[in-house]
Amino acid sequence: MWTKEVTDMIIAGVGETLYMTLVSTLLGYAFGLPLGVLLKVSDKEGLKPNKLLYKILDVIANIFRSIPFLILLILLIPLTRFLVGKSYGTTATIVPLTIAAIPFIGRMVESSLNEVDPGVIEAARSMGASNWQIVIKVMLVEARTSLISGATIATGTILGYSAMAGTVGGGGLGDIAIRYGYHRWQADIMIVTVVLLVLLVQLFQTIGMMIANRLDKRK
Amino acid sequence: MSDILIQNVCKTFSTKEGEVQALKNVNLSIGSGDIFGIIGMSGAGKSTLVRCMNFLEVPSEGQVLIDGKSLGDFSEKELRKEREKIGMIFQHFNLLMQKNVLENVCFPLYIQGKKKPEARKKALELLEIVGLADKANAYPAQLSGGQKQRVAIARALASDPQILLCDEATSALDPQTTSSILELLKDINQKFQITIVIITHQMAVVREICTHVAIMKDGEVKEQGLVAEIFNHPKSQVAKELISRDTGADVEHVVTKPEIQSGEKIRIVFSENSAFEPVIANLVLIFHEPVNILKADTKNVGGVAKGEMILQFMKDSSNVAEMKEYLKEHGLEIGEAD
Repeated sequence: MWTKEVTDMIIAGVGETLYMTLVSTLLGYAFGLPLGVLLKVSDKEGLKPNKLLYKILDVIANIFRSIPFLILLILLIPLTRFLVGKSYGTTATIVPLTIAAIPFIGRMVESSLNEVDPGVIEAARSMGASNWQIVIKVMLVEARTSLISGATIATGTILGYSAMAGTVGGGGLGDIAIRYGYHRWQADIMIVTVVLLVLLVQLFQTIGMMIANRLDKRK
Repeated sequence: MSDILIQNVCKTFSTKEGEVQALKNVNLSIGSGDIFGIIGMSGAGKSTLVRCMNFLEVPSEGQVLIDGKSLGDFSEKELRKEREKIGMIFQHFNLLMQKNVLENVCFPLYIQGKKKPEARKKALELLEIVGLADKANAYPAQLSGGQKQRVAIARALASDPQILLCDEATSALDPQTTSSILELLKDINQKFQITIVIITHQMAVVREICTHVAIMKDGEVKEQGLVAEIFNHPKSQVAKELISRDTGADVEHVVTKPEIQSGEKIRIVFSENSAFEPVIANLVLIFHEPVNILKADTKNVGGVAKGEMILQFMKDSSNVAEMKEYLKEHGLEIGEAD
C-alpha cells in the first residue's frame, strides 16, 4: 500500500497542514494581538479604563471561544464562501481557523500583558510616555517571552483544529487521517499521519520555547 | 531648579469597603534646590502625596503648582511634557527587565523622540556619573539592588529634570548601600541644582541628607520645617515618636571617617546598679586622660534597662590596662568593640 501516490499524498498533507496552521496563526495574531491589547488597556486597572468597551470585547471573545470548532466551521460557511469563493479545501479552512483563533489569541495576549510589572508601567508614565508608547515600548517588550510561549501554544492548538477541518474536506493531514483511517479502515495510514501531527506539534513547541528562552533577559 | 507648592490637596479612593481618604487637606511648600523629606509610617499617605506631584495620582481637591503653574490646568499632552522635567525613582527600581542598562537609561530619551546615537551618548555620560559605565551592556537581573537604583537614577536624570521624586528609594537596600545612594543623591542635588523630594519611613534617611522635612500621619501633614529645627524641638506627637524611635545609628558610611584618635576601642555595659555613679567622669579625673565616647545607647534586655557605650582610649596610652581594671572594679562589663 506504500505506493508513491500515498507518499506524495502524505507529503502534500504535511504542506497543507503547515500552510493552514501558519497562515491562520499569522492572521489570528493580526487581529488577536490588537484584541488582547485592547482588553488589557480598557480593563478597569488598565491604561485607559473603559467599562463598556471591555465588556463588549469580553463577551464577544467568550461567545466565540465557547462555540465548538466543528460547529463554528459549519456556521461560518456563508462567510467562507463570501471571502474565498468556496466552502471546502485548504484555503477555505483558513477562514474558520482564523475566526476561532482570534479570541483565543486575544485572551493569551491579555494574560501575557497582565504579567508585566505595573511598577514599570508607572515608571514609564512618570517619564511622560503616552499610552501608545507604553503599549509598544514597555508592555509588548516586557511581555515578549510570555507572548512567544503563548504563540507556541496557539500554533499547536490551531494545528489541532486544522486536523478537525478534515471532516468537512478541509485538506491536510487530518483530512487524510479521517478519509483513510475512519472511512476506509486503513489504520496504518492514519497512524502515520497522527505521528506526523505529533511531530509537528513537538517541533513548533521546541522552536517556540527555544526562541522564548533566548530572548528572556531576566536571568 | 523648581519649586513645588501643594495647596489644600485631598485625595479620596473609593474601594469596596467604601471611601478611603488618603490625603486630607495637605499644604506643603518645597523650595527650589531643597532636599525635602516626607516621613511617616506606611499608610500615612506619603506615596499618594508624591504621586500627586507629577499627577500620576490626580488630587480629588486642591492644587499642585510647579514653578507657579498648576498641573491641573495642563492638557494631557502638556502634562506629559511637564513630567519630563520631573524625574522619579522607586522602591523596586522599576527597570525594564528585558533591556540592558544602557537602553534603560536611553528609554526616556527615546520617548521624547531623540535619535539613538544622541540618546546613547547622553546615557553613557549619566552612567559615568552614577559609577556604572562598565555595566552598560549588563541586564538588570545581573545587578545588585544598589546598582539597579543607580541605573534608575541615571534614567531619571536623562531628561534633565529640575525635580527628582524618590519614593522609598532606599527601603529595599541594606544600610551601607542606602548610604551610598543618599551620597549620590546629595551630589546630584548640588551638581545639577535639582530639587529632591524623598519619601521614606526611615528617620536616618531624613537626618542624613534632608534640609527640610514634613511629617505625615493618617493623610495629614502634622509638622513641617527645617530638619534641625524639628529634631531639636519636635512639636507634634508623631514627630516626637519618630525621633525617639530613631536609634541614632547612622546608615553606615562607606568611607569611614578618620578617627580623631586611633586608640583601642572597648564596649562597656552598665547594669542598673552601676548607672548611679559617674564612672566615666571619675575615670577621666583619676587618670588625667581623655576618653572618646563613640556611641551611647540604652537597650531593654529582658525587661532590664542596660546602658551600652563604646569608648575609645587615646592612642599609645599606657594606662589602658589599668583603666579597664578600674571600670571592672566599678561593676561594668567590658567587651570588645569592633
